Amino acid sequence: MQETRIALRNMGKIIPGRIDDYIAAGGYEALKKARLTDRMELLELLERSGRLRGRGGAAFNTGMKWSSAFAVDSKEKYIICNADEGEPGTYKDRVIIESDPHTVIEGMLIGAYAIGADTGYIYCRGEYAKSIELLNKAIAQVEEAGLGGGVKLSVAAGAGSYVCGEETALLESLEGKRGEPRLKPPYPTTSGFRGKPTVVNNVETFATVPCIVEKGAAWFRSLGADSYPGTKVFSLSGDVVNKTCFELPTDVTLRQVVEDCGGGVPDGKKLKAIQVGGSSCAFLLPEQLDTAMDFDSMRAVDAALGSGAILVIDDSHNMVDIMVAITSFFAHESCGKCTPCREGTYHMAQVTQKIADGQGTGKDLELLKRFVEYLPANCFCPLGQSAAIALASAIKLFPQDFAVRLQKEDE
Amino acid sequence: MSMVKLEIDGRLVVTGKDKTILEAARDNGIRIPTLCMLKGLEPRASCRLCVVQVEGMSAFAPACATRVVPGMVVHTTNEKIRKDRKTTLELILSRHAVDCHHCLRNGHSYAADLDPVFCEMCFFCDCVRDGFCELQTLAREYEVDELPYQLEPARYETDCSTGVVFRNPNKCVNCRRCVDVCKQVQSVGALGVQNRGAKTIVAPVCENLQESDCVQCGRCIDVCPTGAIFAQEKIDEVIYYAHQYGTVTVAQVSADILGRLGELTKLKPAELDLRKVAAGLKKIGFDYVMCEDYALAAALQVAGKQLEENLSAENPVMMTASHSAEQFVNLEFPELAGQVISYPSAQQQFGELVSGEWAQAQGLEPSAICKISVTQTHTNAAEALHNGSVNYVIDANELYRMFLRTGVNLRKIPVKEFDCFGEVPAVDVELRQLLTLGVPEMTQVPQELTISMSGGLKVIKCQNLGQTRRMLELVKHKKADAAVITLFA
Repeated sequence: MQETRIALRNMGKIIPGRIDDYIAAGGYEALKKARLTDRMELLELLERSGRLRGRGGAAFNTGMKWSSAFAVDSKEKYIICNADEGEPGTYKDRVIIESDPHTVIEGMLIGAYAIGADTGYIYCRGEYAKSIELLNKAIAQVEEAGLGGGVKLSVAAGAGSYVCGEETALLESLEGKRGEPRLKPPYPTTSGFRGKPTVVNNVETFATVPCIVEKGAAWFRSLGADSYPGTKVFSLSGDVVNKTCFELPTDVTLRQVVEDCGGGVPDGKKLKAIQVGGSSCAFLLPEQLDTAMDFDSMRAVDAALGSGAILVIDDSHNMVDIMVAITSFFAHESCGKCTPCREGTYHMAQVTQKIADGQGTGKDLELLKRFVEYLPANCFCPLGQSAAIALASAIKLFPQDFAVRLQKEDE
Repeated sequence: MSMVKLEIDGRLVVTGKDKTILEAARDNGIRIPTLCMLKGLEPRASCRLCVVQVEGMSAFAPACATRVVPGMVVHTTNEKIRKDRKTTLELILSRHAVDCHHCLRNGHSYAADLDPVFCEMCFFCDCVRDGFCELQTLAREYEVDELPYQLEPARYETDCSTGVVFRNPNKCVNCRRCVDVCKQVQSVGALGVQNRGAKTIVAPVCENLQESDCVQCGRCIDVCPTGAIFAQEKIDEVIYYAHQYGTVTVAQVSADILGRLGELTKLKPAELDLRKVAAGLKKIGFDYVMCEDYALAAALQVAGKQLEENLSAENPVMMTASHSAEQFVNLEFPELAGQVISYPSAQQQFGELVSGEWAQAQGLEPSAICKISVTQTHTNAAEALHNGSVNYVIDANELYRMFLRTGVNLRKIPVKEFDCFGEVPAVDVELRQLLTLGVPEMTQVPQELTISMSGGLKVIKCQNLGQTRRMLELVKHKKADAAVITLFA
């Protein structure tokens, strides 16, 4: 299976963070072209012709987002790159930044021009020290080369909170407040950073923009699935031979990614389940391997493409143990704002651990099922709403795994 | 204002377009439970008790923060909503210290069987809010009984450092009303939120409240739905002195306690009389019970004189009777502290009168007198602690609990006349309006008044510390357009 690289087009070809290399590889041509294009035309290119959808997980039409920020009359607008990659099993943004930081910056500068922003921030996960260093260096180079066009970019480091990857919590954190989600509406495009129109896009989304501007919408739409054109960077982890990133057109199947690129399950073990999208997403069974890897195909099988993380699980695991890791992750990462998530994720993790320890009973399993129906309807933000999705799917697909861990009920 | 038509629980409702579902429902007599919402502040939508079903939405919507949309169909209650609200309450209670909803003394806690009066009489529970705790009331309404979770009540230390505002984080439900009032209304910001997930806690930024910027205004006490922030109860000591021979107990009752007392006793305004309160206090054993009007009038006369003496053409006269406001100025505007004139509060005037003239006239040693001030809230508790004007301050909640414990039934007790210091001096109506605060305000904009003194003066009345801050900023930069500024906490 041959990779098709857009976001990672310069990976291994240039020395990361050297602007001359990037320019020699055709970099910043798209920015120059964009700045000569009428703004409406540029937005149209992305929104309707290119149909670029956000690569962070929600798959919202990028052009539409930009258009709504553009439409708001404000002297002050912001463009923000979400590099707070916190979804377990996802590391594509780091690979993109560390192999080619300038493509992200070029994408942001195009976005800044399109919506009329003069300030941009890259909110980068604090643990990504090398990414932060490379981005800072790249920003300095852009300024020195006079490519900034009056747009001031800077990097802000996160402080280790998963929920700050949610765009409104990210904005709160960036404003120096406690990282907690805001009420929506208003959406950031109308009232975002400091209450001004703001576009927040994922690293991969920005990294894709320059190529679309340069090569055109028709070229972009010739790649991948019709409703989700282009490529996607997948990060493989778990029980798979090649634990690395692959950038592939979105019409590939899960089998092609896991078996052809990933090399399948090692040590002669059998595939048990695959979790696509990260810890907040459902599991897929081996018989679903032929599902296409685009947003809508995944949704059709009650799964989600999410951030493109692919966790491969072989048959040596009991799913209850996997759930212990996932539920305790959410309990740890809950921001504590709303009651259902603050207390619910805590008890959900406690009960899952109890079952994993062989101390659970049928009542405990009922309790977990209760959380599965309670959390999605009652939580404030997507973190809590999706905290029980993996659990729901594990209970439904692997009831036997839970049954073997439960204590025999007294008569 | 343009109107919006929507359907709530099968009823056609017409409401303003900027209203939330909660407001629209309340205006039409439909009740939706809330725990974090506070009128006058931005909704937080974090307790999730006000969740409602809006047709077409996959998840529940928080009624406090969801704006009405034409044609919206809302269900405020059904089996699933009730079940989920109950789960939310169970989750809160699973981490809440003291299981008052499931009282051992009662055996079972079916809502219908629980008598709130019985709860008040019970000494098993240590919560000062028992009987008027919002969480307890909701737990009863939703028939929360046995909790399905492993109970892990929080175990934090109580913070009694200020001597006025006490914190018991183990009863905190993370509604953050106190944080919002302290920051948004009072502009003090002594309280904040720390940690995350199940370890989330509301706490002062420093080690304890005393070390923070807290000026003990007590606004957080007024808004706390549970017993997490409270003024320490002194009921036992007060009752002890009321019974003790050799100590003369003198109480002063403020008229504004009637509102809260009416809410607690569920008595209509017509059934309540301040003289019934006097009768109740005398029944407990108070030797003298005074009405506030005499001391208030005396205090206002003093204040009026101070005002006249200090009026000047250049600078506005700044006046306050609030200990907390004074503290606030000292802390935040030290350069203006010297310009603020303190006038006595009714409580302070009462204390001075009793220990002075009155004690002399009665032939009593001031040290043998125990002075008790009964006021609506604990606003003046800080003052009493710091200048010793009175020995105890009791608010309407405490008075209610004290009456329950001692068997005083305000419904049945016959009225008794107040004792008095003498004929109440006449006070100018304008002066009274200018120098007293009614209900504490949440708003950002101070009140503007004009009084006829000296041929017409412009007065600005800062009804909370946030308003005080904004006004003092103007004074500092010589931009305040007023002859008189009064400051309240």
